[in-house]
Amino acid sequence: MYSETRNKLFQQLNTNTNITDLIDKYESQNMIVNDEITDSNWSNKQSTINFYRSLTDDFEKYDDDTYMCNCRAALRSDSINIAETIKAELHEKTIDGFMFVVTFTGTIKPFDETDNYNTVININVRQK
Amino acid sequence: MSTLTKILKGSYDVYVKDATTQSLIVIAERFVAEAKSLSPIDLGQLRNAIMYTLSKMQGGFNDNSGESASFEIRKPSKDNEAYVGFNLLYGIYQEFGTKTMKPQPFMRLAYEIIVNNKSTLDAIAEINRQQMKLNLSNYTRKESYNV
Repeated sequence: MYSETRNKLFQQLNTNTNITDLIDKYESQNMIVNDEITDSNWSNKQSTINFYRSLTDDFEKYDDDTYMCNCRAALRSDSINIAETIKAELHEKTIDGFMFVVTFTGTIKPFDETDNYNTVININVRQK
Repeated sequence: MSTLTKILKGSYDVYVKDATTQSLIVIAERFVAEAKSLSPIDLGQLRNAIMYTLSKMQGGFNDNSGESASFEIRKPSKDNEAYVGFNLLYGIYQEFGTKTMKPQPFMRLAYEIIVNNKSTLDAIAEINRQQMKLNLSNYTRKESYNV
């Protein structure tokens, strides 16, 4: 189910200390959100993660969801570092019956002064 | 060269070589058409920038109404390659979004429609197979008239 894969991915990103160490905090919460854009209160100087279900999903495959994960940071190297850490922690690992497959798409430079570097990764979550 | 060898060689050319190029064009044209129909439109420059190129031909560039695009994508160096995309700075931000702007994916969706829940290789192979069948039936019809 979509909600289960989403919750599992959010939980993994939010509790894995290797990942959360690289992410800034807002009001003691990790700056990780399940949305297409980041919170408007978050600065573009901070390292954040936002992920959303890919629109290209086959909705009949209820046990297999793909998420686009935006790893955002002020520096290109930081943005790539977050993405690489997520891959190192989740790729081809099965956790509580959920298997994660992580693939890189690329790093996009900031569009303007309000934007930041964005390394986009695909995370496919399969439920056994 | 015997007649049979001629027919076999001719059939190889149309059956495999020509069909591969033609199926590449079919895939690229479908991809471009889907991407154009899904692309966000304001002045139309992004839609006009979406195009495909093969080493000897191209299509889709500036063939819609609206503001014209300025730059084409580069051509592939090899014969059996096709590129589909756009050479426009803000296009990638439409596809993937920015910190404050939601993404409006059109290339990824177009790709999914073409691939249709198969693997990329399977999707290409299927279109290639259809093209080979079509070419061979046209070729054998032509040869039978000649005989």
